[in-house]
Order: sequence, then structure tokens, then C-alpha cells
Amino acid sequence: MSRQFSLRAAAVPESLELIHQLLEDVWEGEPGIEPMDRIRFETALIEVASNIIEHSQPAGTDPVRFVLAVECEPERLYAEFTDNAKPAGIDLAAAGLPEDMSGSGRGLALAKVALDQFSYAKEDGGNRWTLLCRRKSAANATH
Amino acid sequence: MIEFNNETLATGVGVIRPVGRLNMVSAPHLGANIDSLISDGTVRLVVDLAGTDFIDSSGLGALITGLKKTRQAGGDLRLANPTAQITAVLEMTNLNKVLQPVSSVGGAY
Repeated sequence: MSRQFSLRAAAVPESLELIHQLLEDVWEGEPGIEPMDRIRFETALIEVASNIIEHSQPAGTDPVRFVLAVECEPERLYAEFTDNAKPAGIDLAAAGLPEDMSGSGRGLALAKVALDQFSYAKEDGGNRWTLLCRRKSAANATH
Repeated sequence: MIEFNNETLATGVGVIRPVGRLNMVSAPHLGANIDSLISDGTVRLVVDLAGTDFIDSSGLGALITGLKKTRQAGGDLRLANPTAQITAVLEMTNLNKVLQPVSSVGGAY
């Protein structure tokens, strides 16, 4: 069984709070999700949203907006961000952790470590990010 | 939203308590709190994370920048009482070696 949640928001810092609230709804709707799975998923979603909010450039006259769709399934947590911004051309393969004393540059690397699958693609009229976290309880059940 | 409940202990150690989430909105406020204590001459700092529900990479960046500034001023910045999400994020970024958390404010120095 899959449960689906979504929101559409402006690419502004205040929208981060909406993502935390949406995830609260997910956790309430599906209380069996392991705490570490929640932590990994929430951390990665906030990093991707922050990247969109901080770095997106409008493609035209419309302000940047994004749609977040979340699916909660017995074996995985899946999220997809789509936006209407100018294609960002992100290379996730190049997103590595900076040296320890660096004060910035960890966001996408952190999301990458937190997730089991992570992708970015330029789309017609925007950008698409997909984030997948395999649920630990599901992994345990298969062993 | 975030609040900072700060105090200076009798030992001269400055305690910063961020209550809420540390993210791209609130991380600059953490940096400003650290800068303010350093400029007042308080360079041995503890960030008490017991009330910090969530941290992202900008919050980590503010902690690392604070660590560098306190050390440059002859002090240090240490973490106390990290919540589960913060412990996980420190491990995922390998910053648990640089910012080794302790379980109480009193044990930080």
C-alpha cells in the first residue's frame, strides 16, 4: 500500500517549514517508520529544498515554485521535487564533502550520503530531483 | 522559528542554546550569537543542542565557522546534548571527529 502526500510552494526559505509539516503528516500517517529512516529522509529533503531555494534562477517572469510529492511505501520512502526554474545543470557525481573546516558546501553531499538513490535531471521548463530511502525495517525483513 | 537561550557560566564558559531548527533561515542567527560572545571576550563556548530539533548543512557550517573563530581567538567551541538527528548528521558528514559532542554542558570543558 502506498500513501501519497504533496505540496506546492514558492522557492522561499519560509517554505522549509511546510516540508517539515508535510513530513509530520507522513510520520503520523505511518507510525512504523524507523527513526533513522525518518532522519535520513527529512535531512535529504531539506537539503534539496534549500538548494532549490538558494540557487534557483527564474526561467522567465514567473517566480520560482516547486512541487514536492512524497510516497510512503512499506519498503521505501520516495520524494520528487519538480520546479519551474532555469535548468540548473547539477552534477551530483561531483557533489562531495568539502574539507572538515569548510564553512559551506556540504548540502548535496549530505543528501547523497543520507539517501539510497538520488538523481537530478533537467526537464523541459524546469528541474526534477528524485530521492529514495529504503526503509530499514523492510531491509531487515528480507534477511 | 528559533530562539537562543544563552548564559555565561561562573567558569567564563559561554553557553548557547538554540531552541528550534537550525537551517538556512536560522543558521546566520547562530553565527551572530557566536560572534557577539567572542567580541565580548567569551571564547570558550558550548552549544547546547538539547532543544535543537533539526540541523542542516548551513547549521553545520555555522558551527564550523564558529569553531574556527573561537580557536583563532584562543578558545574553542564544543557541542553538548546532540539530538538523534544531529548525531546522525555529524556522522554522515564525518564532522563528529571535529565537533565531538559531549553528553552535558558541564562536561564540555
